[in-house]
Amino acid sequence: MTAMDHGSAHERIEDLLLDPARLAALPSSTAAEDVALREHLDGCAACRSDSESWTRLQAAVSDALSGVDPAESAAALEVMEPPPSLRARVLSAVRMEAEAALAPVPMAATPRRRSFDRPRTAWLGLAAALVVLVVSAGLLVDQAARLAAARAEADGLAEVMTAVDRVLSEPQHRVVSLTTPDGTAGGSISWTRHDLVVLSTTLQAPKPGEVYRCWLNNEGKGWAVGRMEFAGTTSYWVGSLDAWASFEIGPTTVFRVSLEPPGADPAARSGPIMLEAALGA
Amino acid sequence: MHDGGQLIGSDASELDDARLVARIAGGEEAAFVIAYDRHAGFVFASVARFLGDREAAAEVVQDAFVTLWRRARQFDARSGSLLTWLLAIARHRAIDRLRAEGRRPTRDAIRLEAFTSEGGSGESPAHPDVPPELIADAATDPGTLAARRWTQSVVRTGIAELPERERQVILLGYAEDLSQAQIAERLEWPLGTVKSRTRRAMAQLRARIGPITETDGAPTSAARPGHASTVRPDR
Repeated sequence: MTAMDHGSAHERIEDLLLDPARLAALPSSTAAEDVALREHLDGCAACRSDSESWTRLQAAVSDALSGVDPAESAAALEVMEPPPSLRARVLSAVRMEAEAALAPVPMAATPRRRSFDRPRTAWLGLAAALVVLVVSAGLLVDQAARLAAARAEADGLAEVMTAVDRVLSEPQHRVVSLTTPDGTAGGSISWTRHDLVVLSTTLQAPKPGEVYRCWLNNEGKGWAVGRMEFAGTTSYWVGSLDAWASFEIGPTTVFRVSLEPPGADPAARSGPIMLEAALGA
Repeated sequence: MHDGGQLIGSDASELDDARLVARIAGGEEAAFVIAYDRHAGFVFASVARFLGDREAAAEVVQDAFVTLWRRARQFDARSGSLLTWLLAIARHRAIDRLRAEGRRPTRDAIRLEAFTSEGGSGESPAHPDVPPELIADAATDPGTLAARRWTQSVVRTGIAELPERERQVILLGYAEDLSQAQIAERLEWPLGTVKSRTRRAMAQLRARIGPITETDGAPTSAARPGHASTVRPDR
């Protein structure tokens, strides 16, 4: 038998790749081509590495699809999209990071060593320059922070308006008013088979650590489905019902927004209900 | 910083990941937006499959991308792709969540089964992507199971994002254990077409998720429990 070259080795690996088990079974195969391939791999680190990489991938694919019922493979392999509001949330978080990075660093008041021979007027001039610099930096930081906050709010509103457009363009959409605990109107919730959009202008901005959490309740059971975001005085939440394939809005479905205190367990509602709407009404 | 998506100077949308991350390290928000649009979907889908909880997955993805913003300078393209890097960050965050929830066994099952449950009582609807064995065995060997589950989640996401025809041949070959000839017969495609699509699918998977299969969660053999590992004759 002649020695196998790189090209032939790769061709053989590609052939074995077509079957989930044959590459993994290469070490014990007695087929002439496989024996020749093994001999080539013994002396060729690059081809051996390539073969091992394919073997690992095949094993991983095989393992990932173990237990997947072919009839239900569409559900197991559905393409999952992140919620539309996540992009704005991530950008907002990043902008806050950038603002923090711009924050002025406290300046040392005491020089490391005294310089008695430096004219006093020079120190006064430097101090004045520093004051101007710090004040200017403060103004710039404040402006940058306001600008970043305005941009985050604009992004958030753009996301929610896109979702509202999408919902309203669906002929089967529904709209229901949200009410506060005392029964006054507090916003609206609109949804289709796929999307759910909540808008309110009655919620006060939460204090640090507090969260307005959204819940869907059905027949006594409830699920935390998201949290209200704020853009100025408007609070909103955009969700995808596609995310909960087994959830159907029925006659007893209720949507609620609660105000959760700092550190509250996101799995269990502990704060008061601020807004509510019966979706099945 | 400037408006997300509006890059001043040159178009970053065509940049490879290494150059994109270099711009992110320089504080360019538009470059960050492109990186998000390029990879957030894959990372989210992988984490959502892993946790069986899309809200928690969104939080993990947010953490991962904020980490990218903070630590872009630490990214080394020679060590792997940006997607691999983001997935590694997300994996740690997601496993941390499982560990944290493992300290609260009552909530653990609820969180793993589906979403969070108001009041923590009553049964939650089971999420189709969370295998019962992960919940049942988590107490015995959570690290190993979580690592394996992570790899499965990423690989499933990779398969889910293959073009329809490539996905079909992989599913038929690996989930239904059909030979290339049987796939050709089932789909009424020429055998050569089936082979080329299988090769293309595997090449796409390796390009995207190959490094993930080299972590400690990857199985070591294609033979798996309940899966035929008999070597077929050459076809």
